Parts: sequence; C-alpha cells; structure tokens
Amino acid sequence: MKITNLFMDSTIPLDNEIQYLISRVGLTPEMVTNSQPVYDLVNSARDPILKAKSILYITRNKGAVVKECPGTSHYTCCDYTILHTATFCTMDCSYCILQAYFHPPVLQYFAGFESLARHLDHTFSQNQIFRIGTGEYTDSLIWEKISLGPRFLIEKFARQNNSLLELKTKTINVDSLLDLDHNGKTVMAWSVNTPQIIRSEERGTATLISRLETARQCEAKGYKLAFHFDPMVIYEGCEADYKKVVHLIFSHVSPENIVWISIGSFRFMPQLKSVIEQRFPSSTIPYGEFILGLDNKMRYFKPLRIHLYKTLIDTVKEYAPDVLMYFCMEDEEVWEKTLGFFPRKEGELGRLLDKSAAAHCKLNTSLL
Amino acid sequence: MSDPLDDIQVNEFQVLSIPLARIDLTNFKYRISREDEDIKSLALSIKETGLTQLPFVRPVGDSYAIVTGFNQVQAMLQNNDRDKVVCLTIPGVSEKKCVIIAISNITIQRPLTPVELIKGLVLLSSFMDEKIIAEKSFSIFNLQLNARYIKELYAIHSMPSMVLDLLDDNRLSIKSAKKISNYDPDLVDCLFSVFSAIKISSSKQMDIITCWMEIAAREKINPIKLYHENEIQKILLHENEDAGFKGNLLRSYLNKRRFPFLEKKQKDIREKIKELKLGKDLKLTLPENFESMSYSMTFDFKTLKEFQSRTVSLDRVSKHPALKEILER
Repeated sequence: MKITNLFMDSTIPLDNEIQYLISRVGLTPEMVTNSQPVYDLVNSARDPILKAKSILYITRNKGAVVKECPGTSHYTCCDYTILHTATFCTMDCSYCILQAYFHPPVLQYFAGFESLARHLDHTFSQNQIFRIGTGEYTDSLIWEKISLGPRFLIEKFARQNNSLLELKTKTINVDSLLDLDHNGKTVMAWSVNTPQIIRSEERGTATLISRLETARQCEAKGYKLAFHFDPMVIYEGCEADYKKVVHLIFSHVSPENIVWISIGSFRFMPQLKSVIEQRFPSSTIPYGEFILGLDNKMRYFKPLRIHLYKTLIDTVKEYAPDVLMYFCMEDEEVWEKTLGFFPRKEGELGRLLDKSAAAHCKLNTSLL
Repeated sequence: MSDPLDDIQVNEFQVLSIPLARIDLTNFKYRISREDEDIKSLALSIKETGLTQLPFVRPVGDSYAIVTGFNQVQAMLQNNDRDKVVCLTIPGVSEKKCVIIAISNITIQRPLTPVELIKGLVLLSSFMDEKIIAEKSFSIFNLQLNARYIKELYAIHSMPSMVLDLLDDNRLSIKSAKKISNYDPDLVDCLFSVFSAIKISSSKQMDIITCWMEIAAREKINPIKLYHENEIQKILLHENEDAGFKGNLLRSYLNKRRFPFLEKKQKDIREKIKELKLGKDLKLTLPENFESMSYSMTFDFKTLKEFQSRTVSLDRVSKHPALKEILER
C-alpha cells in the first residue's frame, strides 16, 4: 500500500527521526495544527478504512506510551505490556479488529524517540520482567520500510536486562534489522495462518512461506522467534491445513529458538461483522458457528474451538514438546482439555511467559 | 417548527354539498390507508347518525378528487345514498396541501401503519426532497424521521408492489423489507414468496433472512437455489396452513442448517437431560451456548419431607451417567 497523503503535526521538530521518515515516504508533509484535516480526508472517501491506509499522520502520542494490555473479561490474559508507537496498518486483513476499534481508523506514527526512551528507561528501571510489544494497534514491522522506529527500539532494548521486545508482523520487513546488535532481547514474531486464509483474508500481507523464510533469516542472526496462530479460522479442511503450517514452521526454524507460540481463534466485536460484509463481500469468515461469548465478543462454539486447538497443539508437540504454548483469551475448560493444565492463579500465565522470556532472552532471572 | 397545517386558515374551508356523481370515485391519488374490506358498520353508523366527519375533496376540472374520507364515500354508496355528499374543500387548494391533509387526517387519530408511512412519503416526495421532509417530519407524520431512513423507505416502495401487501398483512416488517431491498430482483421475488407463506415476528423474519443468506455464503450456493430446494418447498407448502406454524418450522430448519454443530449438540444435551428424569422437582439450567462452565440445579420445597425427597433425587441424578456426559459435553 502506497502512502498518498502525508500530514504532520506542525509542532513536531524536523529532527533526524522525522527527516528520515519524510524522505522515505517521499512526500512533502502538509502541516496541521490538529487532526481534523486528516479525519476529514479519511471520512471523505467511500471506504474510509481503505483510504486511511494511504494517509500517514505524523503526530505525538497524547495518551499512555507504555500500558498494560486491556485483555478481556472472563478469559485468561497473558499480562502483556503494549508500547504504543503507532496506530493502524497498511495491510488489509478482513478480520482486523482495528477496522471497528477506531472511528475512523487513522494511520498514525507517534514521533519522539526521546519520549519513548524516557518511558522505556522508567520500565527498565523496575524490578520486574516485562514482555513488551508494539503489535497491538499496528503491525510492528510495516514501519521498518519508512522509519527508524524498529531499529531504535531493538537497540534500546539491547542495553537492558529486564524486558523483552516482541515485534509482531505479517510482513518480511527485516532488512535493516538483521545486522543490528540486538543482544538477544528482541523476539521477532509472526502471525501465521493457513495459505488459504492468508490468500482470502489477509490482503497485502506476505505469504506464509516468505514469513517463514524471513523467520529463518532472523534466527540465523541470533534473534529469538515467536509465532501466533491467531486468528485461527474454521473451514472445511482447516485441521489438515493448520497441521501443514506447523510442519512448515519446524522445517524452517528450530524449536529451541521459539520463545512461545500463542493460539487464539477468530473472535470479534459484533459490529465488525457488517464491516467485513461490506468491505470483503466474498469473505465467509463471519459465517462460522459463532456464539456470543462472555465478553460480548462473537466466538466459535466452544467444542469447535477445542477440537481445532487440540489438533494444532498435538501437532506442535510432535515437533517441539518443550515449546511454551498459550492461549490468548481462553478459559479454564479450553486450557484443560487441550493443553492439560490451566494457569489458575492470578498472573500465573504471565509468570510462565516471563520464565520463557528470561530463559530465551537472558533476562535477569532474579526478577522472576 | 411551524405546523404545515398552520397556514390553512379555518375560514378558508368551505362546506360543499356535491352530487355523488361529481366525485371521481376512480381517483385514489390521495389514498394512503388500505381500503377497508368491511365497511358495513360504517355504513350503518352513517345511516343512523349521518356523517360526523366530512370528507375533504379537491376540485379537479369539473369533478372532485377525494383527499380524505374514502371509506365514508364508499359507505354512502353502499347505503344507496347517491344524492349529495357534504364535503369540505379549500378553493384553489394545492396538491401538496392535499397530501399533507391526507396524512395528517390519519396521524391526528393514530400512528401510521408502515405502508401508510411509505405511501405518504412517496406522495410528498413530488413536492419536497427527503431532507426537507425529514425537517418537517414531526409535524406532518408525528414521527421524527431522518433523510437516510426516508430514502430507504423509498427503496422499499420501488420494490415489486407485493411488498406493500406483505407489510400491510404484517408478514414483513420495514426492517426486513429494508434488508431485502438490497438484493437482486429475482432473490427479492423468492423471499417475498417465502414471507407470503409464513407469518412471524419481525425479529424472526430478520433471523430467517440472515440465516438464508449466510447458509448460501457458507455452502457457496446461490440463495435463489435454496428457495427451490425440496426441504424449503415442503415447509412452505406444508399441509398445516397456519402461517405461524410454517414460519417457526422454516426458522428452525434454517437454524439447524446454519449452525449444524451447535444445534446437534443442543439436541444431544436435551436428550441427555430427558434421561435424567428430573421431573418437576429439579430444574437444570445449562450455561448459555455452553460457553461458561457454570450449570445450576434448582428446586423448591415447602416441607422438610419435600426437601428430603429432593436431596434423594439429587443423589440419584449425581450418579446418573447422563449427568457426567452433560458436564463433559
């Protein structure tokens, strides 16, 4: 997706960070004193969501820079920490929750490495392990092509020992990052899905094979890896397809370099359904056997979720019995029936993940 | 906002006594309400007490078009009262004003039916666009309408005329008609045939339409093909002519097909519950859609003896293999 309009908050100084970004985008920014012109342009389009993918707004993060993942009620959360560096995405996945989360969505780059550094220094000074990611409100590596952000973060995290940085992506944008001195503190993570789902639902993303080839390149450069089977989609033949994905992962990378594998099935706020129907008329993913979950999100009927998860987990265990697998937002029954245990105590899942993070990324184990 | 009838002065009205022959009985331009099938009681009432509400007419050439009071005029015809009709009119009254009078004549008595609303809007659309109608909607229709909704209602009006019959018969709601109005004409015809054969609530109509389209998407078949399937036709042509029965049968069939696994699981669990023979003493409540893990068992008792009897039943149920199967789901 090409950026066609560049807006910039007029109070942001033209330092190296911003000059680099502007030069990479190749457009002269339109200076604005507030976000209204950006919203106006986005909203003027017939498909504001699509339009927003080509309008970049360089601004400041006026909210929390480092924050806890909000999780969801009734389901077990992994106590992740979000580093809020940008919003929205240039790729176009039918199931993307950001389409319904922001009104309207705006592709924002939050300028200010100094502010970022200040917040991170505070985090790094605490006596606690942190698993921090930038991939909650955006794809972590779409920015690698145009900004110094990912490089800045990798180098920043390399010089501390209580936090892991997870860069979660569906791209193969790692060229400028491969040779960095990451000191093992950055985990390169890919959302993976079956080729059928990538083809039909993940417009503009890299193919599964190229994601895995890139993971192999990163592994060769000493990066630790993670994979996220999320959202898993149920369709005829999906079990066999997900098994093949597992096989492909382990034919590209070694289990010992995988910090974790997360699993989650397609779930959505009810209002996303009409967005998908409108924007992706040929998609059938909103027509699964969904029920309204306890958190008021639509989820696959639980026995169907359990069946699919079990297939995936059993397959992963064949290749990598020791790799840590966990669910993003599932309950005790799902955990017990598929993984055979449930992190019942408050924060227990977080501690399990912290342990894996510490072991793989050489974090300060005394903080566990 | 001024009332659109405010600009009509009471002293503008004229009472006329018109020979029935000069009233154009074929002009239904201003007719918004459905023609009453049975106007016997109205005819009788007019015979006994005379006209208590005068029809409003508009001069058109040498004759008069009825604006309000179609039923009164019909009732007089039924009474063979063909001499003269006492009517109201306003000299030089415009068509626009007549449309507003026709609508207001109903809204001062009761809310408009969906079809009356649509017909009223379409009549008004010759004189003002939907934005202006929206602005004046409260005073004309006694309803706050927005321009987008008005446009959607126009779209319903432009569907095959059968839509108005279905709306009038309460076989189709405005919401359902709006949804259907986006589909291809052939599919619209099929769905109209479906709703002609059944009669169910608005929310169930929406369920049927949604399931219908989602089954077609899931099974990658043309939704029109679904209409011609034997199972669907069997339901629509079911020997039980009760439209409500057929509606529920169709909805149940579509739900089973749309959610095959969920429906089967629910059926299996219902059978297991039957095996428990809980009777009237105990009530087992399942977690909704089996998403939560919490079940509840409740019972009432009035005496110690009843309480003891319930605990015996509970003990029996707790050892029943069907309960284990229900909990393991």
